[in-house]
Amino acid sequence: MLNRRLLLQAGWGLLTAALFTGRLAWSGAERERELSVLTWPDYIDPALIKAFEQHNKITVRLITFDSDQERDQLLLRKGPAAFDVLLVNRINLPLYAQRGWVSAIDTRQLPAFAEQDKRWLAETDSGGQVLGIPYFWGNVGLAYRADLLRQAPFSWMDFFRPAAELHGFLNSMESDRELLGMALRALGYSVNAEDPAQLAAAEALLLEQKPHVKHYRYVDLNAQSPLVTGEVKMAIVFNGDAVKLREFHPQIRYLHPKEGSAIWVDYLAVGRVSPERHALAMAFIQFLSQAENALQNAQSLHFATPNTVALRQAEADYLNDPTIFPPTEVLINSEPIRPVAPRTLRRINEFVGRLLR
Amino acid sequence: MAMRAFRYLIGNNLQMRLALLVLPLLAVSLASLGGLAYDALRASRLAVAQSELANALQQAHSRIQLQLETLDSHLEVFSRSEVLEKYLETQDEQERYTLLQPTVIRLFAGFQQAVSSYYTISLLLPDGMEDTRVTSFDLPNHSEDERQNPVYQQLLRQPQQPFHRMTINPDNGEWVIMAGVAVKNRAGIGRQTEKVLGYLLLTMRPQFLHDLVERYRIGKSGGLLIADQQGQIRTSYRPALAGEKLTLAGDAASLQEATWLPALQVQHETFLAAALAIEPELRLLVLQPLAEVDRETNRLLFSTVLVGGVAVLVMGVALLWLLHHALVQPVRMLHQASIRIGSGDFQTPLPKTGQDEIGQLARSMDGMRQRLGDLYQELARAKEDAESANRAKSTFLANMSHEICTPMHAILGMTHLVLQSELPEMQRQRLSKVQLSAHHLLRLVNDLLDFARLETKRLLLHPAPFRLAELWQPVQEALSDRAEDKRLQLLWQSAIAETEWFVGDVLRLRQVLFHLVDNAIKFTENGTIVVAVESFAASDGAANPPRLRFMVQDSGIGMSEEQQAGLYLLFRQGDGSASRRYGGLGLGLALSRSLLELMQGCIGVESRLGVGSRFCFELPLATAVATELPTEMPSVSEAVPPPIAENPLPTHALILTKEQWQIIQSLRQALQKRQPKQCQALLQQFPAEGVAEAVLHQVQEISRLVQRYRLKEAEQVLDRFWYDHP
Repeated sequence: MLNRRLLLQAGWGLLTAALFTGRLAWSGAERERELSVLTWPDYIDPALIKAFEQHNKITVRLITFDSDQERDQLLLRKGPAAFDVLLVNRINLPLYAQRGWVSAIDTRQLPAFAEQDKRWLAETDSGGQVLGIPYFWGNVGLAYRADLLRQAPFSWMDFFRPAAELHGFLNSMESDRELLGMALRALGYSVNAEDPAQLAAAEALLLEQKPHVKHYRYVDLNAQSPLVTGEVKMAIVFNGDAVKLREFHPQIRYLHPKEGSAIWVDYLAVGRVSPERHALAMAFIQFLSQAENALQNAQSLHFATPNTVALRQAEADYLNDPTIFPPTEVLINSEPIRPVAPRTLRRINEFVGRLLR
Repeated sequence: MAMRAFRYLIGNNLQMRLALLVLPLLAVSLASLGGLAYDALRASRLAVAQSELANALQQAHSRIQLQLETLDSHLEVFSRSEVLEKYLETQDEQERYTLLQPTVIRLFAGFQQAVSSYYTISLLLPDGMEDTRVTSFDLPNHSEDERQNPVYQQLLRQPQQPFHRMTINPDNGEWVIMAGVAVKNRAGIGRQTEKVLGYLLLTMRPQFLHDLVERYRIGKSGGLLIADQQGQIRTSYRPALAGEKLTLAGDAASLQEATWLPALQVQHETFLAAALAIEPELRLLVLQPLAEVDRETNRLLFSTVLVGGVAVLVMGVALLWLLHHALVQPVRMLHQASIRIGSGDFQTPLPKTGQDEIGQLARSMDGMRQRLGDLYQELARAKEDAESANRAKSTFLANMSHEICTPMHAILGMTHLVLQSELPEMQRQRLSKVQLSAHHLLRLVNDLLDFARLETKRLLLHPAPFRLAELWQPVQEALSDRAEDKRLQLLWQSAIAETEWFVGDVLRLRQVLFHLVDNAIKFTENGTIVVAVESFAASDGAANPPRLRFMVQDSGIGMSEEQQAGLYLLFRQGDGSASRRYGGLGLGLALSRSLLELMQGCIGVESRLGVGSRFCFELPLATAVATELPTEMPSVSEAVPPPIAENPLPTHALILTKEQWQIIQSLRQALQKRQPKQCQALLQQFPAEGVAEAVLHQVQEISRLVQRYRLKEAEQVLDRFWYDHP
């Protein structure tokens, strides 16, 4: 018995290892007429994809990830050539470039680049080349069900130290920097704090919250979302997603907690692919970035677009939504997530590994 | 007391003695059997226990070995993960920790999910610094500097193969398996370009050892122990033993092979144990308490002895049964046969008991019985012959007396007739003498007849009520003439009332008195003869009837003492000369004595020569109760039956006619001559009418016997008939 069970476990381990090390082979013919895009789920307007497919006689294949870590894993497993277009956050972009997972973008081939608000540009690579085109920006906050809570929340502490009614009804996320960053903000520290004491305090806060958390998985953005069904009453979300969820349930509200938040920017990048595919990817990026499409995309997904031309054409409802465009006082109280020292990173990695265990 | 009872018990019973002899023998054999069995059983049980232990040791060893090999192979597989290689090859820390470390952590978490006992997995950089560490619970990290870690040290020396060892985890002090493997660049494996990128370290809780120890049992109370190289017990099948320190002789090298530890003492208990070193720092022990081995031995011994005991018991019972049947019972049988022979049964043959000694004894006893039987039969035959000769003599005597009677009656009758006629005085006197002599002769003959009847026990008494006068008067009448002739006085002195009635055979009593008085007259020349009678109560109380004593005293010649001694013998008189002088056959006194004995009386005499004799006889005589008395009271003189002398004809002469009488006489002669045809002819002549019922009955029986030619029996019936009707 002992032996068999152990052998079984060993076999399982072997299988796991093989999965991590294996490479998926792609047939060349299939890839000719296909554009693979590595993106968050529900992060590109399906109408636009359809339009692009029709216009270019090509199939767009969406490969989605639920967290930054999952994306990194996919790249590790499948290699940089497996994806033509990637959605990467600000911290990871230079590292991706360094690792060779993304290739530099020649902005001259991208007319829409001129329309971009340059505030949102990421650091360039060592050669000064642009690595990614800003896609959306936003912040992190709390979505909650107004009808299920007796009292409206106003602070991060309402999430991290929940009232008894919220015990077991919280939805957290896996993204390490965001999660730990918000805990740091809740305690009044910087999201990029590296002081071990501060980090320890934030870790303690997260561990303290852990028993009350139902899921450490980003909420689904559909009618079956736990927030819509009432399985959870409060969730940590990216701002646009709260607007999206409100479509499924009118009582879902979004809060910019008083302690402030983190500003994030997502970039469209091109993988390490052949020049032909690179051109195709560039075409897709240009298609998404041109003002008309960018506006449609932003309005349908309820995120803030960096395209200044598009903003000028935008509807008032969209422009005046405080969820999508946080008020100035909120923005002042927010900070971007920046790279931290490797030692801090290690600590965070180990902690998150422990937290999500 | 008990000893005596015991001796009594065994002294009288062969079977008990045999049992007491056999049972100790059986008990001794059983005890020695038990001893031998215990020795053999213990040896074999020890051998079995040792082989069990060796087997267990081998099995446990191979299981642990398998686990350790599995651990090594897991490490090998993990170390070949591409992610690890990429991770370690990434020099930029920012890049490594941001992009790759979370994946590595997930990878490690996957390992832990696969094998939950790998509770710490860490990745060391080639310089021995810990880079990534994943634990399955919140284990504090003692230090990131793992350069002193023995696994790291070993891998540094020998990066070719995985390494593991049992040791104390510095993070929490737990006794664990720490294992590690070098992570190498895949492209260079087995080539010159092979490079160690880092080390994968794994801490494993030895749960499988606990499981193994927990599951494995040897016998009922034996099991496994795991100890470290110091002999410290780390895991034990008995929780109480954990933490004990064993003194294990020898180091790892000497424990490479399974080693017996004779009489291992732990916590005051002795074990049968064997040890084996699996790793340099891991000792596997198997043990079983000696007490259990002994207990099993004892149980086996007990059942063996039980079976043996039952067998011995059955054998003993069978032996005793055999002894009983082969020895005791035949001896008892012979004993009973000898008792039977002793009591005169020579007919029953001795049982056959086989050919053995007892059989021979039985056969020789049987021969003895047969010879004794033959001898006894001869003796009996001789006795019977003698008796039948005597009987023939008596019969002859009776017959002769009878034959004499017939002519005597004729003589008496004729004399009587002649005396009735006119005769001259001289003739009359002479004839009277003839008549007297004939009467005397007849009386003699009757005495003889009586004597013969007494001899053959055919004389019967006929008790009836009577008075003493009835006894005496006939005697006096018969003898007064003779007394007067000799001028003797005859005196009757009675102390008993004349009217007293007694019950008895007056005829026979009168016969005795007649003899004594006759004798007295005979032997007395002058003087007086006194007959006295008195009554006295029986000495032993009222239950018995009163006794009467008669006394006849004369003043005759008397007797010497010698004469008195032979007085009552048959055919003897006081003196041989006396018979010549006084006449008589000497029958009288013998007959009197026999008659008195028949009437439960006795006779005695006092006599002096020349002075006289006094004969006394006494007998019990019941006085008659009124109801028994005859209804008509005849006067004494009328009731007196004629004296014997006056009534010479036998009774049957009155029953039978003369013709019939003659036929009976002829029949007797024919029977004696054994002439059956003549007998039948005579019986046919016998008239059936006018004969008494009893006579007719007898004649019919004789006829029946004659028809069947059983003449001798018929003759006996006739004899009986003869005497029955005197």
